[in-house]
Amino acid sequence: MSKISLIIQREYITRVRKKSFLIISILGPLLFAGLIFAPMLIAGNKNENQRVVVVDETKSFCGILQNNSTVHFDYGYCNIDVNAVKKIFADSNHVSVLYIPKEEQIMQIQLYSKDDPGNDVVDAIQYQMNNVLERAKMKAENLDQSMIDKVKSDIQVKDIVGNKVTDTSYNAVLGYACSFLIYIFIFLYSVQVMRGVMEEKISRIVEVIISSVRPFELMMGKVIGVGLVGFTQFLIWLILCFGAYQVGSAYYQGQEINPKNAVVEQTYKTGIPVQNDNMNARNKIIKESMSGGLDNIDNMLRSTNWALVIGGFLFYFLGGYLLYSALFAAIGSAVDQETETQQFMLPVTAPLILSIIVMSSIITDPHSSMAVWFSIIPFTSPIAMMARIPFGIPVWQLVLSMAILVVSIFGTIWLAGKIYRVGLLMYGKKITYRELGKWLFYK
Amino acid sequence: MGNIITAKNIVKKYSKHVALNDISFNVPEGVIYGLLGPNGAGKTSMIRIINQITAPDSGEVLFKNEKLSPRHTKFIGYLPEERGLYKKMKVGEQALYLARLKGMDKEDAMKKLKEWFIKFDIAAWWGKKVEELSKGMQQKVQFIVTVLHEPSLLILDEPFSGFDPINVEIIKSELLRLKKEGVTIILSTHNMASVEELCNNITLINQSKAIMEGNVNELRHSFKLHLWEVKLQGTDDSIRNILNSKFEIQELISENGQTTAKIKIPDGLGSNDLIKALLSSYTITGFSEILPSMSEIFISAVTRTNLTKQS
Repeated sequence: MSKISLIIQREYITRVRKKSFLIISILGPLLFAGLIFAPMLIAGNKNENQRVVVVDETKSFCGILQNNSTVHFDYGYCNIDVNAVKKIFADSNHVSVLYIPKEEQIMQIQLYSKDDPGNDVVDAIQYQMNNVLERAKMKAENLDQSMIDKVKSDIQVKDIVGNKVTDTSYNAVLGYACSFLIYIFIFLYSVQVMRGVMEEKISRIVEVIISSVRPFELMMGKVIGVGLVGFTQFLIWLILCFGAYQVGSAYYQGQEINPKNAVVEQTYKTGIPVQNDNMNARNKIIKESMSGGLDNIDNMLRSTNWALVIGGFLFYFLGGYLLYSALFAAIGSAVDQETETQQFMLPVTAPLILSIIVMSSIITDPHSSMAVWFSIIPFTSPIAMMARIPFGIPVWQLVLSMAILVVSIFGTIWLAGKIYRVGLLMYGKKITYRELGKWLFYK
Repeated sequence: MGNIITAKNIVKKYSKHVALNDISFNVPEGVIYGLLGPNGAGKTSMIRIINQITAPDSGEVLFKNEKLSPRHTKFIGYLPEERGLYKKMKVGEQALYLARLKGMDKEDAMKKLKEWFIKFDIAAWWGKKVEELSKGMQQKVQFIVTVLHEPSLLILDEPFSGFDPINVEIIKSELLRLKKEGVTIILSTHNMASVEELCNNITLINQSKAIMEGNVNELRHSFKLHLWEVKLQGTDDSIRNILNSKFEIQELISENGQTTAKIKIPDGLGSNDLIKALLSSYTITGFSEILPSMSEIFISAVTRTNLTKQS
């Protein structure tokens, strides 16, 4: 077996065998899922509906406004004086008093609460009241429901790039997710390379090893070995996520869909209030909305050029890692204390962090000149270009970006190798950039 | 037998500092060769060049008359001055890894490692992590992986620093055994007693230059001050009167019915002249030449070059 493959093997096996690897492999997807779903859960998880006690001097809303997942209307106090009602509920939590004054003061509707009921409640009330008023006005103008239905329009603009239907927000999510993964991967594993190099240097085993293998082989063995660990971890995540998705969807298919909630959701989305209590009609709407959504996602999945996205992902994933891990290896070799790494880490990680910062504007306008520059400069291209790929990009830009990245990888590895082999045997010296520069010319 | 290492005009510079300035020497096969010199003289730089860890700026090193190249690493075993092991890795696994990096195949390395572990009495530690081992045991492991692949050249940088006295003895006897088997050993050391005990040849490096090279015995003879130690029966101070005119008595100790004198024989006279002068008056019980120790030679050579450099 060649020496470099021995090194790769050791780097790989010692890391994969660690407990921390197993823990991160299992917890990683959970953590990601948590990051994505926690805000949704927090937003969607209300302990109680807000009880809204209606005091209606116009008499036209009493009993009309409908309950939903956020608001529960109470019509028991419709005709009582508002001040009396306010007094009754002054100390109650989760209760608001909705005061609708007489017709001529209709614009001064007020909602009294002990604690802030939140935007959702206010929105739900406004939305429903507007609907009721609009309908009343239409009726006053002699428009009946069938005419209203006739004039209603529902325009959906289809975004067609080339000859494919696409969805900008979907592309943005895909681009963002891929870039973010690359970013995490580069950071996580390049730092592991650096720590590995420092471990060898500080434990002083390195001199024994480089009397058997060339320093360059040791560096590349470590970079490749750690990279493979990353790939393995990524693969485990993918399998776990896919498995969880399968299990999850099987579980949900077995569950009854709660029609009530779904209808309310539908009401919000389409703007058509559901007044019909007929169960069948509700189910029909649910079915339509569900299948429509799935079709939509399905279309998007099919419209994506997966070969390009996956190919691009693997290329920039690997390219970015190689570029940065070599630099991190050089940093690890130059210092003999963890604290000294800071001064060198900052300039190296700056482009990485910068590309994450500008990513949102790249995604908003993937063809801006800033987006193009960031995706061609090698230190930002793995992240910036990956964010752009799902939107479709000119071939020349992709080829240029890839070519520059490949050339830079070779250049960086060569440079890092020069620093590495001198740095490994340098102890107790405060290393400056000038010093690093000199190392490049040592024989 | 020929030379295993031939160093020719080696120059090594680090930015403005010259570590090795035109150094040449030959290491004959089958000897224990001492690379001596004060701290910072350039010994470690020289050793790293022989191990191909760094390359010289000019000059060349030959291994058995071939230009030194990576394929020679498997014939060389190296124990650096600052030595360590992977702390979190298991002892046996690590030893196996280092042996395989030297080009040994797995089965062969495994078999030999087991033998050495038993010999050095650390077999029970095979499956333990290195950080659980005492320093002495770690040193044994380091020594084993240095010699395991049966190199024909063994290079040890300050092998006796950091080893406890028991391990020093174990290693000394191993070195002598290996030498008997034909292994050439280069060792850099400050320990002059061990140089006299072990080394056949030396090179003395001071301030990046080789200032002395040769066989240890020959060097000691060439630096001799014609000092002799004489032991006489009885305690008698009259020796001063008898010898004063021709010889220089540097030291005289009379005790326990015996007189011991350190006497310098001047140029033009030999040891027999001294014996003749004593023979008529005393009973001689001991007569031997005092050769300078390597330590004295080392110090005088280094101070001399430092002085000439300063002036």
